[in-house]
Amino acid sequence: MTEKVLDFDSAVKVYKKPGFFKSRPSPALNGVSFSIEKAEIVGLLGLNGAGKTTIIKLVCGLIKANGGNIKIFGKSPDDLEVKGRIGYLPELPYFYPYLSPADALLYYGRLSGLSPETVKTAIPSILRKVGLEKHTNRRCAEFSKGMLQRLGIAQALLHNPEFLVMDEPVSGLDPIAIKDIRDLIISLNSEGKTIFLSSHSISELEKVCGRVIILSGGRIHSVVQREKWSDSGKSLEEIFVAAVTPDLN
Amino acid sequence: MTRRFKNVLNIGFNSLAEYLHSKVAAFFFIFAALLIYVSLLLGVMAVDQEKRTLIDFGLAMSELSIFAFAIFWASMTIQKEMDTKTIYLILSRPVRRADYIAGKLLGIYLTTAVVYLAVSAIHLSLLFLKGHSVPGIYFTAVLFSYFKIVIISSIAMLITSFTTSSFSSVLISVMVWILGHFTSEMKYLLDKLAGVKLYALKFFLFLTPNFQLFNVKDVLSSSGGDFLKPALYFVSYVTALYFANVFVFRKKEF
Repeated sequence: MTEKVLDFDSAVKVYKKPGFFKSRPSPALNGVSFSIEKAEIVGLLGLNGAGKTTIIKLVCGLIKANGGNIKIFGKSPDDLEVKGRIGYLPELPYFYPYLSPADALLYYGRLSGLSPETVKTAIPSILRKVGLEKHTNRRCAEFSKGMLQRLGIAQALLHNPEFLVMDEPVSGLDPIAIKDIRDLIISLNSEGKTIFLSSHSISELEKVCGRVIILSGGRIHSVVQREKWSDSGKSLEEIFVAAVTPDLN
Repeated sequence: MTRRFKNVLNIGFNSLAEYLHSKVAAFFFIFAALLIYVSLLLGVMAVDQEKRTLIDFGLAMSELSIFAFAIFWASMTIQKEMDTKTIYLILSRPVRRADYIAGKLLGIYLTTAVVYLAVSAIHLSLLFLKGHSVPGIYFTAVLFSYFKIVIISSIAMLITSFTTSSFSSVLISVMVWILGHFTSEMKYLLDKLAGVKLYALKFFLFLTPNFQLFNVKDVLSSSGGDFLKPALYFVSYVTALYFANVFVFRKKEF
């Protein structure tokens, strides 16, 4: 029996938008249910405001659901033991500009519960893995967007998590960086890591994912298996456009 | 050392490094140095009261500049981490929100302590250069002034947590700072009030920090140098503010 890594059961999220006298409710997710099993790569696809980042924030415990049930490794997203098993890459990660990549990794590694010695030993290999080994002595202030993204992946991988959550991992990157990150995602998955990523890049999701969840207006429109776009002759883009077009009209 | 304590220290010292690398810290340091220099000029003008003027005015200017620095940083610190999403990388890790708050507060306390030490060093150097000895009470005055800074920076961080605007937090903190120096006047007003107004002001007075307790000259004249009361007040007030910060931050979403 395969192990369930993530389980969303009728999750509901309503944000409160501040108003003049009282806050206004702004529904973001409405009864979202899906699950991810060990060693899967699952993509999240949707238009702006469909609820992709909300799902990712719920997984990482940055926000709380108003209804339904969310379990990661069978426990609450707030559980500290669970958080230690997750690696998270936010969209456009930011690092303190005065830090070198090694210093930044040392800081986040220690917050992940690793000893300074363990982090220092892991840093060279992790920087090699993301292609930053030649930039160890530079400060983050000098880094390009692509280099910051690579460092973002490095901090997410540092504590060797079982479950990787990536929000727009290839956003704004050049083609070489996109290919490097795609290869890295595939290689991490071959090591047994479960990967959950949201992206606007349909072609990237098509290349790496085994399954793609299409979100529309805070609900799951459909869950598309790889076979559907690889065998049927219909591209994921066509499937996605057909799915969201009624919402646009 | 427990994991939680390590996280607090890690976040605290990282915050200190961040502040010290920022240009704002240098700006406030120069600002404080200039104000102390002004006190030197005033001291010269005071002729036979030079020493007293130099000490009193220098201490007041040091406190004022560190106060401005403290409320500015305390109001900005978490807001900045939210804007840059650095907070995502911290709170998605096995770090309790209470420890994050403790770390950020520690960072502000450490930073203001470092800046205060540097500013006091300039002040003392000027006093020595002018050939004046420093009374022992000087160091107690600096310590008590630092206690006030610790309290007001905790308040500024608390206000930022629910106002979500750094500007309003700075503004309210300035008001609290002023009111905190007029608690005896507010107590006098209590005698003039009755009914709901009386209870409202009593409650307001209960919440407002009493900064007059940290006036060393008053402590010496009124209670004969009993510094235990203000010290206990400081510990209780800062502890209460920490829990208030944690309570508000616990429910915050990013």
